[in-house]
Amino acid sequence: MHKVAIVAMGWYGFRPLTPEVSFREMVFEAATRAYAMADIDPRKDVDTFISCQEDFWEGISIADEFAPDPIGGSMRPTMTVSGDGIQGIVHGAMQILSGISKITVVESHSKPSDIEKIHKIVEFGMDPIYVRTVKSPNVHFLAGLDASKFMKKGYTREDFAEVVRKNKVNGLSSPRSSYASKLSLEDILSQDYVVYPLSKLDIAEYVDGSIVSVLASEEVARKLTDTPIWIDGMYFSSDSTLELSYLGEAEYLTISSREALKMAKVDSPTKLKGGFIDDRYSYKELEHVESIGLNAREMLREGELEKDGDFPVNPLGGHLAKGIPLEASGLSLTLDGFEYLLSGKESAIVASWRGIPTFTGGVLVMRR
Amino acid sequence: MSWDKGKETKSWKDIMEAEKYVYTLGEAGEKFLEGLKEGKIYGRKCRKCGRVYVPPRMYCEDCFEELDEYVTLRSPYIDSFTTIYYDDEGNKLDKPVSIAIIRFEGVKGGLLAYVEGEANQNKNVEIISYDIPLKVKVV
Ligand SMILES: [Zn+2]
Repeated sequence: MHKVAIVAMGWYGFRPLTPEVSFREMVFEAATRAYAMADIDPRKDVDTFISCQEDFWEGISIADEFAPDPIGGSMRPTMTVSGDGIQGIVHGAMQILSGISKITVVESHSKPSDIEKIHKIVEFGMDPIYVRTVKSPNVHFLAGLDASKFMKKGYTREDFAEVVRKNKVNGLSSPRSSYASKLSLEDILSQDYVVYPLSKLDIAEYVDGSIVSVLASEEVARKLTDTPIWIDGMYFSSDSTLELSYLGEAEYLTISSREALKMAKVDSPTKLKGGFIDDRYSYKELEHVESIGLNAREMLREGELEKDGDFPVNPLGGHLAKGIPLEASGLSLTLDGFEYLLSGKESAIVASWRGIPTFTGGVLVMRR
Repeated sequence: MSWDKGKETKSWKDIMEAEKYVYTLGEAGEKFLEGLKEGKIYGRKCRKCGRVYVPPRMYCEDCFEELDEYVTLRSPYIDSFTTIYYDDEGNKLDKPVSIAIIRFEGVKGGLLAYVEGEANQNKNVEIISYDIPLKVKVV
């Protein structure tokens, strides 16, 4: 079996505002850093390019047309994925594993500070007849419905607050964490509900950021670096529409993690050394930890999800500390995992979600 | 020498208008809306697996078969709910509003509804306004 590795990643931004650069300049900045790390020339050495983005976020549609040039892909094979960066990584890995490419670049970015009414863009993603028509005063109501159902499994507001505390303090060790802070449980629990059962602190903020990753085949990866980060397992999947999907669980990650772990020949996620798991809402981290097959409640309450616990989850802070870089969210978690493995840890699972109103997510199993 | 970007040159302002749309309901959607006018909730049944879907749809997502007869649904209950206290812009609402996903016993799918009364999981409700979205009252 051939293998595929991430050999380099570059990033730029991860601040609430980036007025000094346009979104394309921001992508160029991240790409320049990734290529410097890999020591490659994108105009000669890269076989294929992948950009993960959606229409409307940048105030443009047919956004694919803007994809090639900021990553060095002008007049070169560039494909676009209208989805999360993790989906792009899986497509890139397939291009390498099928032999059509030896080096593939995967890019995603976000500039929500340019969007004056982001909730209106989120509403575009809802079913126009049965969901958008509700005209909810707050788009997070979809997370509220899911969270309150999830609580019935025996989770409390204190559990959610514990996730907020953990991830915000973990973020202090990462330069990308604009929203990191040291908060007490009392601080967190004293907040008003915005959308029951979530307060402002349970909901991750948006962030501007761009990430470029360089994937390579086994042979090339070993030439480019002494520390390739192997992608041993990967998968992404979708549940159904809002009405037909399961609330209170994340079926998309149950399927994705089962298949990715099988591919990586890992029988339980606890055999891995940590998780980088979507936490754009505090409760979602727990729901997602459950969906990859673990007892999130017990692990959280026993401290096993802490940075120094048996199975650290988001030891670099996750989205609650870094913010949500829209379609680059999966790459943000992957970048945390990549740095974690470069620092000497042996393995990790990355589990991403596309956010409301979607029921799509993907998983990577990574090893150094 | 560097070019000092003044505030007025930092960004370009525009409005990206999304023009008006007409969303075609489709045959199952039409039937659903007719049902609302009659004060009924229609679901649609798959002959192959027996599942009933709401909102009614043209095909079964499991069997990939065309759906068949319409059935009137009864016994609505709250599967999950949320209460909204602040709007998207951070303003506190004068009066919090509760939204629920309403399901029907033995039926796949559900409908969003505004709730009157104390919402909670598995509480039975009465539909007080047949519209999109529905309005329901906890009984
Ligand atoms: Zn069927």
